[in-house]
Amino acid sequence: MSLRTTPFHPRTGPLSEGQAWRRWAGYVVASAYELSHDREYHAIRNSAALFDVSPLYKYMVTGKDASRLLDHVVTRNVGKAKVGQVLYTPWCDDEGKQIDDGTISVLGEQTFRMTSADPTLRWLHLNASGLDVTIADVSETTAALSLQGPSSRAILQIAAERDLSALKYFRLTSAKIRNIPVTISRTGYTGDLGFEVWVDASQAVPLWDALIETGTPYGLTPAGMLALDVARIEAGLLLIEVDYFSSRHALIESQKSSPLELGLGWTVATDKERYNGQAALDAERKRGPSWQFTGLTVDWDSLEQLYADVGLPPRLPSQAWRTSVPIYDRGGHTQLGYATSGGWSPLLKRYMALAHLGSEHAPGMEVRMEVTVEHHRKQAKALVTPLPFFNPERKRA
Amino acid sequence: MKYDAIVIGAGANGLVTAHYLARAGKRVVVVEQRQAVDPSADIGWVPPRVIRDLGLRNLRLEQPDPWLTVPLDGGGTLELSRDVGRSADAIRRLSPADAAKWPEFCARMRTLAGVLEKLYLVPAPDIETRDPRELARIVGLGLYVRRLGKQAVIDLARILPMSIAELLDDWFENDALKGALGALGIWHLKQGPRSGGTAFNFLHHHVGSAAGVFRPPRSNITAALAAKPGVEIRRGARATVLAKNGRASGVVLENSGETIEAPLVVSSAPPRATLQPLAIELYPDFARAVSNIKARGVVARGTLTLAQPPAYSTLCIAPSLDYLERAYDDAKYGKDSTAPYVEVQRTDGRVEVHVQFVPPGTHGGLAERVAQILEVRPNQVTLQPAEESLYHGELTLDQILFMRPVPGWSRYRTPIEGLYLCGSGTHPGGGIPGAAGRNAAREIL
Repeated sequence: MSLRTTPFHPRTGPLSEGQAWRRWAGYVVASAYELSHDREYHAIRNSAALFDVSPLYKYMVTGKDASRLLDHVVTRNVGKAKVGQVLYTPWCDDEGKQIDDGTISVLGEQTFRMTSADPTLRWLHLNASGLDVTIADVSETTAALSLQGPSSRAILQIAAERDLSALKYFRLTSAKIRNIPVTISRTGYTGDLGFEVWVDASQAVPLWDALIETGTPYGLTPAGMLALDVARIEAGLLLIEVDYFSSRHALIESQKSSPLELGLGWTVATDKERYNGQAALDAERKRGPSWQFTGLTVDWDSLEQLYADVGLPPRLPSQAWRTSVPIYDRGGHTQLGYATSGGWSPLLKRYMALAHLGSEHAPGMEVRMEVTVEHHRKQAKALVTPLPFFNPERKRA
Repeated sequence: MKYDAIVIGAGANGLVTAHYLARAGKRVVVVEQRQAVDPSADIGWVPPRVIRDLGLRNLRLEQPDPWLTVPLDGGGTLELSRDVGRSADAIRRLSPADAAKWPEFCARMRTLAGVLEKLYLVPAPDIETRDPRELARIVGLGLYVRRLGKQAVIDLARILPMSIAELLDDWFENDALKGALGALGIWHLKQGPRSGGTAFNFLHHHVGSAAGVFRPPRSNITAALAAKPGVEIRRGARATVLAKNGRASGVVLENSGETIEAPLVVSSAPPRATLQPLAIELYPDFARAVSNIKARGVVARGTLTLAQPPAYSTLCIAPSLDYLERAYDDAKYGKDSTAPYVEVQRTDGRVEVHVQFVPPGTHGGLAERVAQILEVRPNQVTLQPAEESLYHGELTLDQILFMRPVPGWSRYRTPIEGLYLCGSGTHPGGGIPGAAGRNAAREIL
């Protein structure tokens, strides 16, 4: 089976200068439209960037027991959420190990849209036994754009011809953009001021045109996954199959993680009825998770010295990397954990990494990260840094 | 009224569990949806330990002799008796070769059934265990089998997964004999005699019987248990388990809406019926395993109205293995057997009929067909096709021992704290009234 293109492809296809495409959930999406992703990245942080996020799996869950079903599956308290709220939440297996993470949009008392990184239809059905609920896979019929960056609100307000200043972080509203009915949620994967616009796939192209036309004077730039990857590391946001493995795909126990180990303890409700993984998560919370998911900042001087030793100026990764890299103690002999993604933040001027470390390693602690310098394995000094690396006020303001 | 335990179902297993719990000092109430004692399921070996432990002095075991009457093509009957020699004499008229093999066949099957008896009076072996006591128990079972000799070890390994047709073809040549014996291999199974694992089903139903008797005994076990004081029985009320946040708290009675609270709920109802309403409390993988338990109804049971009590104790209409296989062929595609296996049993003033295969659905002309086979008028036959297996889960090789009721949950527990299962859907399964009930009670205590 060949990869599919998203409903925005008639517009995104011709934009791609280098035909750099990436696979995402059976679709192709742009890695970068320009030959380098630099300008696209800076658009996220300085003006606005437009991402095609249609490949997300999307499910409409409706009916009398819709919130009961979702509460059975996910760790957040869906029953307590109000209409117009969006919940970011993981979901777990019976042992409290994370299967996937995504968002739940509360569109109505009995209407929810759930997004996920992996196919989830069967899992929802299995959990729905005996419940009065309808589950529809709307992945193909719903297209989505993510409009992120400091100018995103200004652009969207003009496009939707309404004031969006009252739309708070992780809230949604329905709106019309040039008569196209859309749902606008104040969500995203960049840790910046930003919105996601959900639309019927048949209206995808006119929506794209409307946003581009409105946004171009504000510096709106179509952006690909490479730029997004840098932004999400700055924001300390997890990526499945990179920063953690779905417990469904893990081959051995040690490949699995719990939300408590992934820094998602705040998403694990303590005030709700039985849900998948509850007993295990309650017990883990009581004894304290043995792992943590944290940031690392690679020490510049230390990195510079490693390169100076071989007669080179320091080199930085040109893109965010997503390979497992060992983390050692100060002495450099005992392995404390591993980094799962990292890269240079052009904005913060810092070399950052996301890492799994034992819970006992507090922020500010010094560790060593393996770096390859001229084909040789070396260790650079790094400091344990709380996440996120970048957290602008405008994100929530 | 405060109770320590609620037992759902006043069948043999439910009452056995209830009495064991009561004997341990618990205050027990049994909730039963039927108004009266139903004796029709009292078929099978009642383990002597149960009779002794519970002091069931008024228990009556029916051991008819001859235990089976088989009408023969071209007139006459084959009568199989409790005495192995007498049966051999009867068989000799049909096949001298089969008659010669009969005593050894009876002895070998008896040995194998003895192994099953050992396995059935204790919880299923836990194959994942690291507990030295459980490992010792498994080793003990292995040694027991070894001591039975090489032949028994080979027979056990070879026969259990076999089809009953292969087993019988291996021993005998006469169709009437093979049909009559083969019928026991497909009892309450949606399988024909050529399906694998039916030899196990045959041995399962031989458990507790004397050598040479291949029909399980009948008893008045349910009535005897119901008459025994010590537990309260509430009839006419269908109960649903109440559970929240992974813990059972009691039951709610369907018609009145009344709730009864107790920290311990034990259900002898089918695992699926017990657990499906609690799906929201269960992890989906477990809930799915439970909803996938094979418990397909294939038997219509009922009564025969006769002017005179029949001369036979049990009449078996299964003239050959081919006849049984063809009966199954129809069932395989969801139809009633054109020529079903029919067995008629005289018991306690009634004449009961077992008709197989009758899958759930429409049953045009079933009574007429059965009446024709038995040479009676259709209005003399009353039949009730079963929607689900009488055994709450068919005794196929994938649903026995540590895989009963579902793999990994053979110890009568459920993922819901305080909720246990004790019915024939659990190890060792149907046809052995009281065994599951006793094992469950011992696990609980």
